[in-house]
Amino acid sequence: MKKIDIKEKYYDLHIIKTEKFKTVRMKIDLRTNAQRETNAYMSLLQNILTVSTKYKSLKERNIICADLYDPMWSIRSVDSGSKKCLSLAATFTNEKYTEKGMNEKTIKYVLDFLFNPKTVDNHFDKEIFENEKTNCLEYLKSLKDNPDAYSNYRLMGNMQIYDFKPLTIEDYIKQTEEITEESLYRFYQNLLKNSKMDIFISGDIDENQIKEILEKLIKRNSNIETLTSHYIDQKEYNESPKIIKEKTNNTQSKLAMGLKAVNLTETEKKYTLLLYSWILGRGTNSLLFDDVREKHSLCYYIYSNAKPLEGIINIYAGIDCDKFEKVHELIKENMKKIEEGNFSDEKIKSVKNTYNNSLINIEDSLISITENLESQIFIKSDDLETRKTEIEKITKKDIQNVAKKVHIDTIFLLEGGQNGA
Amino acid sequence: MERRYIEKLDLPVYTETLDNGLEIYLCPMPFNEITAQMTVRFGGSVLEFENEGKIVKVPAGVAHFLEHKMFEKPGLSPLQIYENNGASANAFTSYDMTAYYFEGPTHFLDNLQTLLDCVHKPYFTKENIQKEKGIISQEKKASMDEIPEIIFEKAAADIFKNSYYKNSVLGSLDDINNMTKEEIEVCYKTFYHPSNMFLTITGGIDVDETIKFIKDYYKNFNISKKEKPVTIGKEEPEEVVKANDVIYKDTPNKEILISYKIKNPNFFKDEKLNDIYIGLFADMNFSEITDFPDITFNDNNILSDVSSYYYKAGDYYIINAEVTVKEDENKIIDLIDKQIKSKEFSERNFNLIKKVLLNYLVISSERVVGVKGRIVNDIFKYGKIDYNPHETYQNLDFETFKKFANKLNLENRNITIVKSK
Repeated sequence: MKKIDIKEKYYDLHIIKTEKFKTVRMKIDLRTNAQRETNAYMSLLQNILTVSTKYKSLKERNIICADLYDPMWSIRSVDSGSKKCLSLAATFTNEKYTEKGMNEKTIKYVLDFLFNPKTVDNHFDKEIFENEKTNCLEYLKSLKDNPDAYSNYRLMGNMQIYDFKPLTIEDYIKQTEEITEESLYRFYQNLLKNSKMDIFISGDIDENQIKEILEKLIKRNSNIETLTSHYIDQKEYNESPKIIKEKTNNTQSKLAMGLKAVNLTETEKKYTLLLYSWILGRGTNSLLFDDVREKHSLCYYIYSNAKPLEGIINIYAGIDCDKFEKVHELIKENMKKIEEGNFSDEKIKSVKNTYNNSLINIEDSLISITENLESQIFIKSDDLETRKTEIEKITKKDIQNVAKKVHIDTIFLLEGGQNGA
Repeated sequence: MERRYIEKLDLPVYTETLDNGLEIYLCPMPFNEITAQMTVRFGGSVLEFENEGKIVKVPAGVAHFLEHKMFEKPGLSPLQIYENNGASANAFTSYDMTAYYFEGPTHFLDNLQTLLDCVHKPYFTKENIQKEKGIISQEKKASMDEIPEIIFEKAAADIFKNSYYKNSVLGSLDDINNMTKEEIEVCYKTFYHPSNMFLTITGGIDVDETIKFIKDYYKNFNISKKEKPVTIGKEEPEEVVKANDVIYKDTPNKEILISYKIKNPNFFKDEKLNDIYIGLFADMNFSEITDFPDITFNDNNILSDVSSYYYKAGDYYIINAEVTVKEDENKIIDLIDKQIKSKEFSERNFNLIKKVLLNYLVISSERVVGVKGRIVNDIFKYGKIDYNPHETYQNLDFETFKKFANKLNLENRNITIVKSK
């Protein structure tokens, strides 16, 4: 595997050459600071760019895709700590296994979605825009049909994570309603101008050919040179957690809990918080799974998900409504257990093994190879060897120290029938 | 061991059947990741069998309950051992199979031993069965709040009169709570015999070491080959039980599921070809290269794409088309119905779909989990591996397809709608 970094005028190009795969992976990331006002813009833009194309219909867009041996592609706006990232991703079969010339044709096909949308006099096509805006609004208004997603939105809408006020579902709806085909187009132009752009291409490819293709196709006339760190430093939390409950006619209740990790050190952000969260609630060997599911038979699923860039951990469970207090108590008890060092060394060994295996698996797919390089460049992750050494150094005491910095901040309970009637 | 190659994909497959009847399929691949799956020919819906000359009737939901209980051991549970080894593992129960699997790049033999112990060393107690009822009840309750699950279960009950496919895999809350230790033991003894299972392993393995380990493992068990339990067939009429049904739920939209109940025309002697052609038939009517993406996008009453797939239920194929609307349901139902009954097809679209299928074959051959899935599917459904899938797809023919499509009777259908009162 050979890595080549090229600094182009308007973007940074990162190429990984490897002969192990029959496919090619391409990812283009446009990064900018997360802002309260632009959240709904990003969400709508990711959808508009996939449908507002130069093709006369979606059918035609799809037929050309199939004819190019069906590259898998997507445009997504994702949160990355204090940054928002608009990403175009594509995986396609290397022309060595299809027809000569296919690499260039496919790259052009997917780049057009990002750089050549259908526009009329400095705005997006009105009809397409209105259709997609309606779709977005309907999605937000029907969120309750998906109790897990709804609960998570409600939790995030009540938890202070960024340096701006959290956005509720109602805020998203209001923001989306206010967007016009002109304002979205201005937002899009501004994003192209005032973002940091990185391009990742991996596979069995010729770097000169790729460099040429991109130079020809990418329309852009500026590039932000540096961005501040993606990591958000959490400093405050609700000492008395904010609890929000909402009634539904559902059978099951959904618990979504937001924890904050405050004043973390560099090592804690990069390594220890993850190990802490995994011991608490990742997988079937975790304390919460052992206790809440296996010992008390209170749920089918309960798990925690750490977001080190945001400095938070979320816990999710599906429970009976009248068992909320009990489950809440058990979660607190298990957090306390970690704080007091009341967990086995095997648990630490187990999560370290999981961590190391995830490193070993990176070279098995172009998607993970690309992700790994992205995280080294975007959030300054250590290289694989350093990560192996650093994770080994984490002690029980270190995990206990992080536990002392983790606090329940916000709890959302979507209440179902009392006894699951 | 017999070795053969899957042509054009550079995949060697080693096969052997042990004296106890266990079939083994090994496919070494140049990746770190290893995945192994033990598939049991016993699923959640089929409830009557003939075994060693006797009729065995099993209660609804027992296969899934048993799947949960196989992870219970006196010492460390298999899930804990896998986690300690940094591997991920799980199991699932479908209509007609139960499968246990793990994925992990290290500690392979320990993981494999854990998989074999998991299915061959049961540990059922009254207490641990009682405990599991709370857990499985929560799994069931979550599914009772999900619209796609509710609508699917209702439609199945409306489509089939006698077929086992009307039975839900999890059983009802009552079925779950009434489960006894004796019922679980009978099912274990009847179905968890090596002769009724097969083991599939793909990824970074050493074939000699793996087969030796498996043989040594079974030396400790004194089990001889036996006949597989046979499902007792049920006559199923071509008509559906109920053509229209409504489920009332608090939702802002209407979810529509149209199910076509189609008798297998047995056009080809080779069962796999019937399956491939029915899949093509669904794609030719509803995939991304048809008119449906534009129809749904341009109509503000239609909130989702038309998603379509088929499944096989004994002598029948069920083609499902699902869509969400705001208000009027009739227009899209008519469009779907007209389309599927028109049997007018474009040769260009046929060739595009064929191209995509051929390409997908290449891409999936570089995924350890994908190759495992392909082998399991071939063995479970057709009893043999397709060693030349490329040729199978290459030979797909438009004229043959049209003849096949003409044999399909599309007159029997059910429409189920979820909406608010």
